[in-house]
Amino acid sequence: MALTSNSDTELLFQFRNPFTKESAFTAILKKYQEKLYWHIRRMVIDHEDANDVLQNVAIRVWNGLQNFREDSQLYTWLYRVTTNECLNFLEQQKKRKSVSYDDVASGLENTIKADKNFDANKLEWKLQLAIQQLPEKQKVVFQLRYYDEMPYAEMSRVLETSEGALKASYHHAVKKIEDFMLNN
Amino acid sequence: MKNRDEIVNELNAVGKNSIVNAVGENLYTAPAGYFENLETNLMLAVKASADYQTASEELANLSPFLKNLEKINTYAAPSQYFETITFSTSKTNAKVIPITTKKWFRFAAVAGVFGLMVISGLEFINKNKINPVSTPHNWVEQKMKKVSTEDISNFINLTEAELNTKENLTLADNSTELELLMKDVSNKEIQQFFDETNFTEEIVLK
Repeated sequence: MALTSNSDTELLFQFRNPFTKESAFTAILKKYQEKLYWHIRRMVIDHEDANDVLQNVAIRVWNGLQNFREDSQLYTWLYRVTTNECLNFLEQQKKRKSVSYDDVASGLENTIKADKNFDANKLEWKLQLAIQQLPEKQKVVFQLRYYDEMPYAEMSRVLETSEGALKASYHHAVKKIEDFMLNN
Repeated sequence: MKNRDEIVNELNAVGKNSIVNAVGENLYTAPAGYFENLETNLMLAVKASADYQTASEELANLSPFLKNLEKINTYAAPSQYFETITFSTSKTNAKVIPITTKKWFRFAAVAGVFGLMVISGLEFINKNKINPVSTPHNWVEQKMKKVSTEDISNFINLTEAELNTKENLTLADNSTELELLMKDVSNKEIQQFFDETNFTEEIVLK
């Protein structure tokens, strides 16, 4: 059955119907997959890792969407699931390799440098290296605000942190990145 | 004022004449000068909220350098990735738990290997051990292999010397003691004793 409406409310309604559940699920992912992919990709850098995380996100969405209460917007909930999945992935990498987050970040930096398009002289690549200098949570805050231009109120629901704390975290992140880019 | 009239009529009808005069009157008061600064105060509250500025405006204030930087997506997804990506939900039906993550399995494996090592070690030790009851000669032979010739020689010399000394002393003691015991016994009584007991050993008295 083809879905004609793309509104989240309609998609959620159809997801709760066993006959239209799968097509609604596909439509939801189709609608948000690119945004979620790039959010993941900027966190884990490597495409294969990003694809694995995205697949896990899809499974979590399939399992959890039935209980989604619509207290927040669907995309806010999807971002929360995706962010948690990214942080879990990085945490697992730490455990698997028995290394600290700094070492994981250093690994991500190497992955960036190994990209076939990497050019150390270009500012956009310098920015990617600068982002890797940030602590894990601050990195998420920066990505959501800088790239997704997410309002603090939404971000607060995604990361379950107060708006004030997020704002302070973003300001620190911007200053650190600026320092890194101007001094390296 | 049509509404007010309706309310008054309604109150009159239900017999609440005492509150008819209060209809429409504001019973509460605001602090003096409150409305004079209200607009400014509200604007300050709006500016203080986290989302007063858009992300773009905020960045322009925070870092003009970053604001002027073009947002180029440095990473690339494989071509046709978003058109061809499929999501599987079948994983949810059967949760696969890798056996290696079971802690008890690891402990059992370690305990098994340790047990095998202990049993093999004991077997090896017992194999080279000779039972002194069933094969005493072999046991002595095995033990003697560990003793040096010099030690054996020393032991023999020491033992012989000790034996000689003790034997002499014993004989000397026996002779003296016997002499004292037999001092008051006549030869006749001794002969009688021999006859009665059939004692054949020869005793020489000094």
